[in-house]
Amino acid sequence: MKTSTKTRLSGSSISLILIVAVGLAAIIISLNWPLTSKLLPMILGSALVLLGAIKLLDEARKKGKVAKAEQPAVSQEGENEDTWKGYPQAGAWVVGYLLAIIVFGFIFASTFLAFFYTKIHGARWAAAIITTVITTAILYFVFQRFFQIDFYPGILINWITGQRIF
Amino acid sequence: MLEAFGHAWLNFLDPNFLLFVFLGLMAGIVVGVIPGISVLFGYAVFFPFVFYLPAEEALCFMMGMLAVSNNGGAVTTVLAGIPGDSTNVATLLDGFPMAQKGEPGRALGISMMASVMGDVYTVCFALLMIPLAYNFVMSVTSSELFFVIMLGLVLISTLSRGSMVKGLISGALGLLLSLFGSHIVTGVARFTGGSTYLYEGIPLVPTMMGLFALPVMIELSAGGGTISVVKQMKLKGYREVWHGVTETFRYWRVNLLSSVIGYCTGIIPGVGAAVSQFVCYGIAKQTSKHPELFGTGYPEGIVASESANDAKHGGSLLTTLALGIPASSTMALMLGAFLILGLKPGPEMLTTHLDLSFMMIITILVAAVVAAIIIILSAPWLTKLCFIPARYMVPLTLIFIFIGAYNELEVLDWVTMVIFAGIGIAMDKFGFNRPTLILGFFLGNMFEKYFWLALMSQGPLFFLRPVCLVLVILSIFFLGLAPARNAIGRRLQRRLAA
Repeated sequence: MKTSTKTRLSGSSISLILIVAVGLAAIIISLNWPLTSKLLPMILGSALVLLGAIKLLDEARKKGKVAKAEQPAVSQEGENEDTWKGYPQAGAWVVGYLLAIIVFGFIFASTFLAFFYTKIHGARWAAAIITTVITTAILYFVFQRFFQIDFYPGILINWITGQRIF
Repeated sequence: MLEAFGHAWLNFLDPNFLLFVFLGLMAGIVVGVIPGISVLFGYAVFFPFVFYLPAEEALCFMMGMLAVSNNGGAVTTVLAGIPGDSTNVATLLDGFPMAQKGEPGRALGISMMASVMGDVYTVCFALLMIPLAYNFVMSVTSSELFFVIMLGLVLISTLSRGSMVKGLISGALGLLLSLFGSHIVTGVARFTGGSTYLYEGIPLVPTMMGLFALPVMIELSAGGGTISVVKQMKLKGYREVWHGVTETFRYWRVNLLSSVIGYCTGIIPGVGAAVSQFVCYGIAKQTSKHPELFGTGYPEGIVASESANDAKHGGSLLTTLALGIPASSTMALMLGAFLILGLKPGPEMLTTHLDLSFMMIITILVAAVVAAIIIILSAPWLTKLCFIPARYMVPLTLIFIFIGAYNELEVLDWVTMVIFAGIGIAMDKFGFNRPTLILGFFLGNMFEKYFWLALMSQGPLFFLRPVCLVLVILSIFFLGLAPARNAIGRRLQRRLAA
């Protein structure tokens, strides 16, 4: 059990490894470009690799000190398990909304979001329905009709009407 | 110059123009009042809609919002003890205790009047500084501009909160992201992966909405409940407010000194109002006849922090207008607005568009005066915004954010926004610096352009020009400052422990 906590990478360390990877990718991708185009990407890529590695080593050193002092393993940014509480669900709502837009179109997806979000988070039926109706009405009459914003109709409508999907 | 100043005032006779100032300040009050939602969020949300407006109206809307967000933040700070904005934290030290002692109106009156006076001073300083800035800007070449951008990035990376290395990583990442798309000189499509969507670079609006607006709503959704943790906020009669307003003038010295310091700190990139308010508060305490009363609801403390907050706007606007270097994260977004509206910060803003520059400065003053009146009259109702449950706030704002990101009627903009929201949340959680990333993203193209111009016109030793050398030394100094400070702190701690 003790060994697993020691070897487990913190979120901050993973993010730094990703930064180093991004830097390396920038260097590798830009290798074949003319000098004028590749100079800055290569400098910035190298800077990312260097800074990422420095910070990663610094975090490893600090983590080592903390482990020696037998204190709970929390990174210096105060990152811990609790800071992510509720985020997967909140993120899922956003991603779900995005997918719903792509499939059903903006107006329908927004109507679904207004209704299901309010209802699932504890609103009464009447409140959820009123919020949904007002939201849909504003989107349709104010944005679509008045401002004439041509909202994305969604794959479904595009497929039915035989239009370009994206 | 006087002609441009007069012309700028003429705009305020146009009802259409005044309407946008009013809308901007109302939006600023709302984002200021709601804790956790800053003017950055407001800019990100309203950014796409602003582009449909003429430049004057768009800029006065944005300036109006910026100028009054502090004032809005003072409402929740004073009445509920929740800083509406990070720039109101020092106001909390004396504003809330005064409210707890049964004088919330007095505290609100002092904070509003101190803010207005801070804005009056900032306009005066700006008028004095523009001719000086003009001479300075006209003498700089591409090599100096390159190093000025570098210094700006270093300052924002090193002086803002969190780890300096992570700040620098954020800046470098922002610069790298700005290089996506077709290269102006060679036409090479960089980092596009063959996608035509990325050929003109990563779109600005979805990036900004993803980094700043969407994470706020995800955070609120994750936390649930309401924004405010306090049950209610109470404000008694308006006579008490008026007493606070008049009382501010008794502390005119603190008011003036804090405004000067606030203005000067505003000029320096990276030193935000969050820093200047505490500097001013500390100085006011040290120079006060009654330092022991600070923190107990003493008016001088409120005057110091609120004056500094507002005076800062003029200073940071000057750096942004004259050099194109945003002095703060909000100014970084303002710079983005300039670019999209077809305005080029730098000498042009002090010559061809001098009237626009004056107009923005005057907007700060007009908006602050009007906002102070509105806030005082409507404070009891404004505070109710903090009690809107997340279940209504989140979906409605989310829809609004998605409409904003649909600027180019491109579905992939939404995907970009959601990706950047993930990046924004991760950056926030792991101690990276989002404003530095967006600053690098805005300045990346200019950074590259000035680099090549300097190299081609002055050769590889372009950094040996006197001003460039000073800027390089300053950059190295600020890079070394934080590690040196930490090393000294550690040594002192060891000595104390021994």
